[in-house]
Amino acid sequence: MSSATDRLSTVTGRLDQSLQPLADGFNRLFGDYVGELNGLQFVLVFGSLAAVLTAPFWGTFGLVRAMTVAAIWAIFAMSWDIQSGYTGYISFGHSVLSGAAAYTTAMLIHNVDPGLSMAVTIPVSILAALVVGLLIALPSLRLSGPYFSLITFVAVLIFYRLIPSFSAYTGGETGIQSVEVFTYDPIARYYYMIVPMLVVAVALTFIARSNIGLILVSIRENEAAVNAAGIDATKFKIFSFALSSIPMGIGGVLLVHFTGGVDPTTFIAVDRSIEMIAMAVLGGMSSILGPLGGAFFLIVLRDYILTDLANLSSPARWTIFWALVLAVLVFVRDGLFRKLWHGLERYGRGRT
Amino acid sequence: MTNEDNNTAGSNRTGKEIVGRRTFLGATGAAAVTTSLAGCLGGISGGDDDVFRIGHLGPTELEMGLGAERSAQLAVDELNENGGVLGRDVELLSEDTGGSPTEGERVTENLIQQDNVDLLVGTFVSEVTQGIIDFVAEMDVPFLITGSADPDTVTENHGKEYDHYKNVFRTGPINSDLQAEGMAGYAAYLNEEYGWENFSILADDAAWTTSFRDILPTQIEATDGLSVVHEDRMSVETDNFTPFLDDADDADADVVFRFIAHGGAAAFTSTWAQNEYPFALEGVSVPGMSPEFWDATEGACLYETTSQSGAGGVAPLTDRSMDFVDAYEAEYGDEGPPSKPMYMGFNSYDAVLFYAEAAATADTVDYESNLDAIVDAILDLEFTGAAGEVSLYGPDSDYPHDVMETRTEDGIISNFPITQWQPDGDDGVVECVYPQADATADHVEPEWL
Repeated sequence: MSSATDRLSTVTGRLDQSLQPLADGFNRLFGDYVGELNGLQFVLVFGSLAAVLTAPFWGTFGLVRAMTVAAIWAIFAMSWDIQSGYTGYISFGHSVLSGAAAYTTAMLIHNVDPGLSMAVTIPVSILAALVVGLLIALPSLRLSGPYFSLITFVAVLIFYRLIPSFSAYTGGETGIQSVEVFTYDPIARYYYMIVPMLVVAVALTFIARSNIGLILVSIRENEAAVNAAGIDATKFKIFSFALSSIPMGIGGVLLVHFTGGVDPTTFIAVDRSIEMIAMAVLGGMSSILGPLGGAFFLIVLRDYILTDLANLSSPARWTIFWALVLAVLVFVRDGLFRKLWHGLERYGRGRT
Repeated sequence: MTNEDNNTAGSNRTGKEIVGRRTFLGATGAAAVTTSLAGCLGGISGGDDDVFRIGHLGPTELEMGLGAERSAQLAVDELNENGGVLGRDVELLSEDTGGSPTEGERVTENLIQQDNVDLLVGTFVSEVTQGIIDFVAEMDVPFLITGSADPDTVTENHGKEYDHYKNVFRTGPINSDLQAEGMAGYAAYLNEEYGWENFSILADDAAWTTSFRDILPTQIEATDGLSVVHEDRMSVETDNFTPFLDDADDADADVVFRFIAHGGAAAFTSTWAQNEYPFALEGVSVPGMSPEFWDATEGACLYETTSQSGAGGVAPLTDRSMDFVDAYEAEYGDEGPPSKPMYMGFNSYDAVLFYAEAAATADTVDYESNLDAIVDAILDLEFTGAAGEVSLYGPDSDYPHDVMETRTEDGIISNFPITQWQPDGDDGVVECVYPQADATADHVEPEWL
């Protein structure tokens, strides 16, 4: 360790020590399930949680709206992560899953009965995402190498073209705009999105840190070894895809009740899949909370900092967005939030 | 490996138990209390000040949207010079919708929730209008549509749930059902002039062309001797138009009515001009409305026409038209395209002044408590704008709150001007060729016919 870092960690180490009792409380209660934290990490996790939960009380309208959108995208990025990040089978087609759920909701309302209650449409839509997920996973996950990624990629392209082909039912390019929103009240709406996101985050973190997570990572590191150990890797790959489809469905339903409608560009286009990947990669693949952070970082940047504050035009915004993702890929390949996490671990010296 | 995040050393397993738990419970409790407190968003500024704020929505990266933004600003300047709206200063806040419903929703929410606008004006793409209309209706902010012409916007909303949508109006252009009827009137005129009988209809596969695909054929064939011999839809991604033009040629069309709103219009025009297809090119071309289209197509657009509200800024449709165009050119002539306001510019300019006049009659702009008074004043108003006379249909008509068409004595729709690119030495010039009352030149047929 260089002397500068050394000196810094004397300060942060002491800070960490004073925070350690808080972290210990957490570790005793939950450490066995989600891993243990040092003092600084505890502050990061619970400080962020407190900030997220209280945002409407200190944020401006634009910031809170961006965070509302970010909550939905965080669900997408985490769902993508539990499948692609953990198993290493990169999916380029996750927008099909959220799109399937959103389109199911909209098409039920548009084609079956405008009065259908959310108690019906929401479970059916999430189920639809699961079914579509299995339809893609079953044939494709038996393959290895790049073929899985290519199949998911083609799946999006096909779904994107199917929408206008059945425009009588799907509304074609325009989509269906008659879906009811949860509410237009910006504060209530924020919690409608944040609460499911937190539930998904806790559930996926729990699974990822369990033995299931370990098997998924092992598939990424050495699939042959997993099979040799008597564990059916294909079964777990399909399981991970199904596991990913359910929160994708939840996110899709939230998004359709946020925008009040569906259209192929907002929901299906392959760009949306790539954006999910970008968020996960920027935050740090295979860490669940990393992609969550990545989603908040990128969306708050794109929809608030670069727009409301910097007032940039839309092409400039997207250029910066993708340039940043590229920079992370080149310089911080493990992701910004993983870097931050390990940094806190080092500077905390919580467990030497 | 992922799970290395977990492998934190398990020290401090004993002791300090009470402190830890109490702190933890305290922290969670605090979070729970904060969440249950429903309060206001900190950043919302008060709306009860003495400024009348107008939010303008449009794809300002495109010439159409930029022309509209500038024109709305001209109207605002004009109001401020004359004492504002009910004595308040007027401020324009322009937002770029990017032509996308998602972005449109975001900027509209910002304008209403954060900037507290008193009036919304604009929206060019029908999909954007439909994407934001429920929210705007919910918030009761008066909204004057100035770009998109989709009739569903009023028939599917006001027609079904009038009270909910009564704060939404369209002051121009006339909706595309009426435009289709106007186009049929134009077809009859072309028949009188040249004897052309066979029509082809080629439309973008998009929401705004629905009326032209569904209504126009019947309307054209209602005139004796006219027939629609060819119809097709073009995907908005089409860049090779030869097959469509060949089909129209094979069907023996005298006129192709094309309805095209995307960048491919230049390729369409060039294909037609270079091959000298034996039919006239008429209809609606949004890119063709650009004052810069002559240069963009290197003159290939010669003889093509398009319908456009405001007649491209070349004809004195009302006493106000040329004053407005002159003011626009004086202010923005040196600032890059568009060099004229374009159709949405005419309508946005009119909408701002229209609302100011209605507000003066209603003597209020407080839509939260006096929306009905504002709605009544708007529906009673007969306004002369730069693009034409603006009066709106009432609640019980087929098109509630939509701008009325004007008609000649023969019942032909007259606020539906058609412009044509005509030769002007080595250059091209836009002339208004229809209706005859407003025409600045006669329609010219392509020289190769």
